[in-house]
Amino acid sequence: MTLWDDPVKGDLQEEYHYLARHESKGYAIRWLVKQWVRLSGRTLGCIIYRSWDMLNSYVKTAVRNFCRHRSYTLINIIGLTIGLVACFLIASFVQDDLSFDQFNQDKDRVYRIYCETTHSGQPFVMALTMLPLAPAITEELPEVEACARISIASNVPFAINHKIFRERIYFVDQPIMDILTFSLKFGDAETALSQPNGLILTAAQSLRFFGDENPLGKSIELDRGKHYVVTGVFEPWPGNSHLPPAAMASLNSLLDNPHQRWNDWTSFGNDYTYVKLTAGTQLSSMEDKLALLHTRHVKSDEIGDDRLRLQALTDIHFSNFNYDMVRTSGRQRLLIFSMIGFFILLIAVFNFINLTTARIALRSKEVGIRKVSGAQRMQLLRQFLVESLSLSAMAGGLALLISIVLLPPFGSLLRRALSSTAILNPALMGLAVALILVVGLLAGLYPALKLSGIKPITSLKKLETGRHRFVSMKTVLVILQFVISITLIVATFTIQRQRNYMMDRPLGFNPHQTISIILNSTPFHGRTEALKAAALALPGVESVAFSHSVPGSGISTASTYTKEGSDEEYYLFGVLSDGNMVETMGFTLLQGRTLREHSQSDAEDAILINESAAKLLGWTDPINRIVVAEEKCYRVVGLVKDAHFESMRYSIEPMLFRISTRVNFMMLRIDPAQVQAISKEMESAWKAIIPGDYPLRLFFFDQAFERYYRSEKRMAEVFTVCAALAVLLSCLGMVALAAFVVNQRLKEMGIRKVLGASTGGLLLNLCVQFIKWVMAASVLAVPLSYWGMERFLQQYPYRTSVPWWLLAMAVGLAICACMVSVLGQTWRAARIQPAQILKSE
Amino acid sequence: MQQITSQEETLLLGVLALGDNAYGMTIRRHVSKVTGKDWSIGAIYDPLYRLERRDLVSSFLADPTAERGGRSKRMFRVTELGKAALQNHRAVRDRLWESVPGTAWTK
Repeated sequence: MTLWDDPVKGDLQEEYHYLARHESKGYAIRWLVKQWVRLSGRTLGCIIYRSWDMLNSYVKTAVRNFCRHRSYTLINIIGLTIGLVACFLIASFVQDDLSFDQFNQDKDRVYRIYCETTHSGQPFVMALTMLPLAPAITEELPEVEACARISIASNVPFAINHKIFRERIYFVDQPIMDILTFSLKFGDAETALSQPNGLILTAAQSLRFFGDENPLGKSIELDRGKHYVVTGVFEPWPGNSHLPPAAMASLNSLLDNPHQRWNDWTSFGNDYTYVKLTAGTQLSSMEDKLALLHTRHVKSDEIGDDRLRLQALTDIHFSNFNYDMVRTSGRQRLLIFSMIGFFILLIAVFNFINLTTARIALRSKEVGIRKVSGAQRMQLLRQFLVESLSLSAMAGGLALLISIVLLPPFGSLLRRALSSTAILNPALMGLAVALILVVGLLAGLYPALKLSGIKPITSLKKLETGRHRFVSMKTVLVILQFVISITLIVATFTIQRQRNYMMDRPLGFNPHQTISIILNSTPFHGRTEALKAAALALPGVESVAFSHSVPGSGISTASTYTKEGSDEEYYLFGVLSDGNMVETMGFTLLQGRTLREHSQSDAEDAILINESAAKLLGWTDPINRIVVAEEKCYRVVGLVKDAHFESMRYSIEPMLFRISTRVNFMMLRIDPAQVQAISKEMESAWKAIIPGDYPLRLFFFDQAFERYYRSEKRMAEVFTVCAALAVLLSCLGMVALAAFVVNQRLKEMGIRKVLGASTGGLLLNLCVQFIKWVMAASVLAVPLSYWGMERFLQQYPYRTSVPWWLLAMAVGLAICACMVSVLGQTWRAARIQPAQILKSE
Repeated sequence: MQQITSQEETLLLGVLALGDNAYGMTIRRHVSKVTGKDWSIGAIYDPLYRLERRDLVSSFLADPTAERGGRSKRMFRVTELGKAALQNHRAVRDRLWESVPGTAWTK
């Protein structure tokens, strides 16, 4: 009994009309849908039951066919498996990326506040907020259910039993426990962070610090002798979070810290504000209220273009804000990955279609016999679909197994912990099944339609079975495969080239001639002179400087300046140092003089600016010009050549160099040949001067800059793998296609040979056909990839180009790959003995 | 004598009660009304087809009507074998009921 049985259909219709008359139309429709659902399972079972015998026969023919053409089946399955593996791996990465912060219970209501503003006329978005914002929101906005700040400190020394661990720590307000989803292993989530000096650890930290014992109530000495009491331990989050798990301490522990600007509404520190809105609050009206609150507390001339806005929790991972707390991912990368996965799958599907259609000539006789024996077109169609579906199912099963094995190494390639079981989640399994079905049906449909449409008379009478009919489709698919392959090769080379370009481009100083020591969060105050004397006493050390930031560390201080006598504001980054920085780093001085270390007047108001700053301010001769900040005048005494402080993904910022005692780094200009000896000597000097168990932390510039380009490196690695896969798949298809084409032209070759063609001539004749396809693909791929890569490079202010020889190399590679894959078959055809081929005619 | 289940008994009695007008929709309505629960279409046709295979009911296609979109009804009729099965089923039940002592019902 199925839904298609006439009496059932009649019943449904009659009852529908009855109900529509007596009840209502809506009720009748609902009833109908309900009946359909109730009957669908029974219907499906019936169809399978009824067609079981036929299905059995299809599967049997399919298996026989696979066994008869083993190499063809193998190539087909391998090709599809590779395509599906690539697809599954990429899908599990994409799924992992999309899962960020999804585990939070109230994720739809949780937002982070960020600040939108303009700097020097450019829009500027930063993730930071001011400290007094959160208390004001809690007080004045009833739509906000909870509001909390997170303030981040990294490399904080945790002293436990005289051992020092360096950890990242978040200083947070108690409501964060309500905003984000925590589950506490020990302690009470309601109060853990409400008191000053409360600290909750991650389960991993608790294990590392205290072993298996319950750490509640234990005391930990943090930075500068402050004691915190462990009030909780939280379980690892059940999913990815934009916040890497780390210890959390109550923010009110820092209330006695004079550096914190608790009531300063105009200063942005390393603080982030999160809110949970009450259910049903409109986002736009909330932002308006936030703007109103902002104007209540800050004078309008101080607000300027600043605007506080809300960002959904689940968007944080994909945003690209300035001063964000962690490296975020970006949707662009996700899109690129998905596209690559799609294209590789496309190549595999094209292979599948080509291989199956290529064999039409071989199977036309079978189709003819079947038709003569009474097979209907639908039955043939079904038979071929069952065949392609069973192939794709085999490939799919194999691909799943391989993906499970390959997932952990693939994850480590992308620096993401992907466990083998990640692929077994319902969404991905659903995708896998859908992919297998769609690929099987789509790839099988075209050949099935073609095959089932063969006229028995033509196939059985050995008339030419439409050899030319299929050529166009096949050629198009092969050309498309090579377009994708060539584009991926060009992309791989370009990304690699861009990375090399950034690594090799002069930084504006010699990264090997200067090393740096991280002083931050060690008791170095008052001991800088001793450190300097000790360093200068070492052979090979030429000069020493102290500074707040160094190249590769980023610059964290920036303010607005005006030119003297003008109101126009300029945003300049300040590099604070003791005055010796320019010499020690080896920056080039273009005009004027450097800062003098012990000069009182220089410490007051002398500054150096770099070229970018001079350009921004519009000065060609900046010496003795004045800039003003907070009613204080600074005199430019020198112009420094631009040097990179940050990744070359960003342009060099306009900078000024100023004397200050706020320092984090000690820099040594050294003889590069003696770096080993110096760092060893320095270590013992450090031990002698700095009390406590603080190890010497060296900072090498070349390493710091290399770290900047890791994501390019990763991307290049992924592209290399993908391009190799694409080429491999295209070649696999080419091999099978060559076998087919050669088979068809075997007789022609025999005749040519009889008429006196040489082996070499025949080889050339055959190969030209394949090379023509690749050349046609190049005509499409070269402009396409050139345009795409030029666009990709636009995001880098310092970028390489896509030279013609790179494009030529990619085309050459594709031709080589094509030649290698067809050579075996063409060689066989060219060496043919004409007598063997022609004897049967 | 063929054994029938109580579901089959319900359906056979329904078909009997409807006389010459027993087909999918009327049987479903009647049975649903009497038992007070909504019978699905599958729960009507599947057992009836099963009964037909056992020759307890017979069926034929009636002429198509307009209100069914030109589709014919499958009319059911209980065969003599079916009636005998029903009688037997009832007799068994009666005997079973009688064998229960009256005291078994007191609480």
